[in-house]
Amino acid sequence: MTVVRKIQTSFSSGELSPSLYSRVDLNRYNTGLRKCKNFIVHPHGGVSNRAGTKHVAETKDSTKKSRLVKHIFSETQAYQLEFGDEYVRFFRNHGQLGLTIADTDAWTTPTAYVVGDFVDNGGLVYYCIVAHTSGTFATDLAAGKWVQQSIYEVPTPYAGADIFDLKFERSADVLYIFHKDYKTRTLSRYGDTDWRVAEYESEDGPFMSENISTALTMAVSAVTGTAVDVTTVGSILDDDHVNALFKMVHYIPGQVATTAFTSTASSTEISCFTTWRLISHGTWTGKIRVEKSTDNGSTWTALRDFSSGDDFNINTYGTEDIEANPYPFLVRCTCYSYTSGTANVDLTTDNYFNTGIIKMLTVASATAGTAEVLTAVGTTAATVAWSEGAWSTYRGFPSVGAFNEDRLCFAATEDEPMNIWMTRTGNYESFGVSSTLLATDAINIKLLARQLNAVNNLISLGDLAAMSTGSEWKIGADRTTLTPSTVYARPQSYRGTSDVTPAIIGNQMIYVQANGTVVRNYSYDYSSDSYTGSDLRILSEHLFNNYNIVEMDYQQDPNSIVWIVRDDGIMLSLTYMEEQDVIAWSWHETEGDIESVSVIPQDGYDEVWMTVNRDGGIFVEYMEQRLTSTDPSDQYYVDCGLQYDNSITDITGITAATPPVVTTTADHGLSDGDLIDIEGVVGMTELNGNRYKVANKAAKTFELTEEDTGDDIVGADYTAYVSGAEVRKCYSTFSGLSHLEGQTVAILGNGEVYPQQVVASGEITISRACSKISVGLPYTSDFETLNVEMPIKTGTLQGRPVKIANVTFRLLSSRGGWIGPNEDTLYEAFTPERLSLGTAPLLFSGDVREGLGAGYESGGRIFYRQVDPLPVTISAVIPELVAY
Amino acid sequence: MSISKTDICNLALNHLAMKSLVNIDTETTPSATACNLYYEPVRDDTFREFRWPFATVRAALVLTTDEVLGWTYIYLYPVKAVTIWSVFDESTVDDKDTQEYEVIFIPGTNRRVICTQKETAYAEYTYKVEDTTIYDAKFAQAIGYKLAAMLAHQLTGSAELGLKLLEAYQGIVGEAKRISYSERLKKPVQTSSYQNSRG
Repeated sequence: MTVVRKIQTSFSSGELSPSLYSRVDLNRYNTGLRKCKNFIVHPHGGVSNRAGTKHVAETKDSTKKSRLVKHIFSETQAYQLEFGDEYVRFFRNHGQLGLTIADTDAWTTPTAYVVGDFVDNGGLVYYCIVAHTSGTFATDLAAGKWVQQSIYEVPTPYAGADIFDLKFERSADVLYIFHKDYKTRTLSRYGDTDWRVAEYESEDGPFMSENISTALTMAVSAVTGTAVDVTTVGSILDDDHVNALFKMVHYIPGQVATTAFTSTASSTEISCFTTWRLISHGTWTGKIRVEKSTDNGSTWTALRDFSSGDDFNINTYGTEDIEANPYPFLVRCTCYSYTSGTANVDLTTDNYFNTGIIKMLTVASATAGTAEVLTAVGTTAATVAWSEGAWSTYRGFPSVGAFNEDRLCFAATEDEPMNIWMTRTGNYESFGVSSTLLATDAINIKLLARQLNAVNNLISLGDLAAMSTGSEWKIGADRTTLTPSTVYARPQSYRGTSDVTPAIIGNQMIYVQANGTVVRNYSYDYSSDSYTGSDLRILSEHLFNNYNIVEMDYQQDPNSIVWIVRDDGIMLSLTYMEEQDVIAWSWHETEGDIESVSVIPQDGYDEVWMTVNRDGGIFVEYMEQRLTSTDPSDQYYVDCGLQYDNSITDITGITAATPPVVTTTADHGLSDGDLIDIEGVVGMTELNGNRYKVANKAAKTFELTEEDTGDDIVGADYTAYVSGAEVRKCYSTFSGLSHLEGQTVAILGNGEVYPQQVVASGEITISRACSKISVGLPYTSDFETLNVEMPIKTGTLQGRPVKIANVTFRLLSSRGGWIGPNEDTLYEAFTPERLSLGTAPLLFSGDVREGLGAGYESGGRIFYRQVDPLPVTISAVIPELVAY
Repeated sequence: MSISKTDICNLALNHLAMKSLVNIDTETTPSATACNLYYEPVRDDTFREFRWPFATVRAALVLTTDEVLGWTYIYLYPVKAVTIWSVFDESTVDDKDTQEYEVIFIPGTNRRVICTQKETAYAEYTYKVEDTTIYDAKFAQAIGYKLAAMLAHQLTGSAELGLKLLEAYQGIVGEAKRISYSERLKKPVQTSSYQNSRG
């Protein structure tokens, strides 16, 4: 058989499951890979090795897991929040936020300090870890009440074990935090280093269903007051009801105030809810007014005026707008001008139900306690019509929330796992319901399913999607606004959803099925008028079997990738572009376990942040952007590392002389004998890419001499300097690597790969001084094609020994790599061409044909491995193959 | 012209449209590995094609004490010999190509020997020249073609290409033979059979 060439131009199906190795009939086989490790798949079909991660900081306590949570105020102001055991710390612009002396108040005594307070004392910043009233600073410090810490931190009530169960919703500066065992809280941003945690307070609900047992009644000792006694018949109260709300409904019969006016006077005050009636009789001359008070009689406003000159009697009624007057009020009638006669006036009000709300302060026993009255109770009589607040330590708190149609929606307490509560529209702290239902009233809806499955995610997709462990629900209103009278909840599917917060992609979501190992999408399907989705991992199920998914987030730019953390510390990436039929899985490994992932916008790009449990601790890191720069010295492909690149750019001139003299605006800080690299010069381009030795320096000037000999550079004939010079000092020793102490690191210095070294005393020393360097943990990126298949005259290539003698790689801005027919038989290929000694080989774009070194093997595959800290992008492979 | 092993291998790789090597002794690419594997056998085969003038040696043989039935004198096979062309003594040097000898293997001493009836024997043989700088240009080309022919299937997957290269190899060897004849000044004395029969 002659040699034939096959081109694979796309890898947009990513790494396929071993169970698909035989499915050469699938379209996706032609765009799939056998291995795709530490490579990301571009939506266009090519693959690139992922960029490295940069070290930002160690988490507060490396013995415990912490979680990164994004808080995006706007595209230009985005924060990563490190939630750990009872604290939160903050990151922005690639750095951890900290406090300086200027940001803090001086320590004073005596002052009542609470946990979370920062003070400065003796030029240092201290953080209060035990609440106390200050005495002597040194004594307090020795007693462990303060710790020296300039990292900004806010205490939270969330225990370390509960961190990954927290759910979040965001509204501009406010982050809402939900957990079934903690009262809902808000974390509000007042400034970069001024964040405040507050409890979410609602004073009017929500409430559970009304009590229906006549044996259980509740009464208060006074209808208003900040500390009234509560007594019940039957056991109702529990210690955990402290701070719980109770609603008490009393029937208030119609009331009458009968007055015979013979002078200016007011009637007795009677309570009214919406409607009052007024009748007079007799013969009188004067003026009578109906008045209303909403503050229990302190101030009165006139409602209606009547006058009679012995010729008129009143028979009328009035109704107050319920929306403007949601609570009962007082009415009276006043004769404010009297001339003669007797005006016999009957002011009556209609009967109504009074809804009072109390908040428990203490609970003495199951039948007694004290409470604060939030909304006046109708009477002190016992009532069976009471309702318990839906959220309390006793009943649990909502475990998840989301904004939808201008309501803040909550779902799933321990006690009512399938309940959804929505606030009034526009008022995210009110669950008020009017006696005549209004469109803006709060909504309380139960999902009626065959099984009791807790709602664990609420997502607004136009309609509100309520995802429970057994089913997925759409909560909405048919082609109208969501109101208490139009709302419905309809099950859309019965897959079940895990606790992992779904990722939103455009108008759909990607969620994890209840078993924790299946990833599905979920979007509105016009043809079936329902929300539906498909299994996205079916072709790559091997990446999920026996693993659980911990967390995921979506990176829209640049490649539309969902990053998914697996419970074994591996991170999966799913390149997902439904409209282009791109569903490409790959996996990412680093020297450590990835525990949390979160994506925030940064510089017009979505940046992936993660916490990684490594040998030296748990670190907060972010994945560097893959550069468009093809300068090899700018590349960053190491993990948990640092990049040194400090340039002096304020150069105002370089003389065309012998030697050339460089002038800077500010002090340059260089010393005689320092080696420097110069690039970017416009005009005097003779200097670009060269290394010089500094001589005869002054604060703002220095001369250029030969690197080796120290002889003056002969620059008299150089072109005049225009602008743009970047001067970088060269170093042989690089410090700041203490977080990688004792570990072997990969080094890229000025674009050259240096031998790997072990970090000692937080430093490494390289053989030749460099001005730009990337240092960090090495990682390898693997790429392997599936068994080659193409139609041939005699049937299929499968089962025939196939030999791939040569393969052409179509590359973009790449350097380095090992290839071979399988993982165990690799050799170093793509030997870069060096333009000149001392200049790093450039990145290469184009076709490279390399021998693969394969004999006749069953399969016919191509394996590529990048071991160097350098980029590679493979846009196609073209094997030359022959079958036996 | 001085030619290196890497050059010869690159000649072969060029015939196969493969990327050139930089240094055959340090590279681990499939091309380099394959060239290294085939280079010596191919070179030695090429030496055996005919009496390459640049590599032909005439030297005295070393007598051994081995015994072979039917032969009187047993000599060591020269270590650097690729092929023995003739064995003779001083009296038969002008008629060396007709003298009888035999190359035999002695298992007891694990060596090859040359058996003759000559008491002080000389041999003409092709010396295994390893210094590539003195290679004849045609010889280097010939190795290049043969190496390419041998590697064609392995490195390109194409067997047909190998056959074409083998033809080219034979062409080169033919040319080399023709040229080498003109380098032999001492020609055998041509006598007619009539003269011979006259004694």
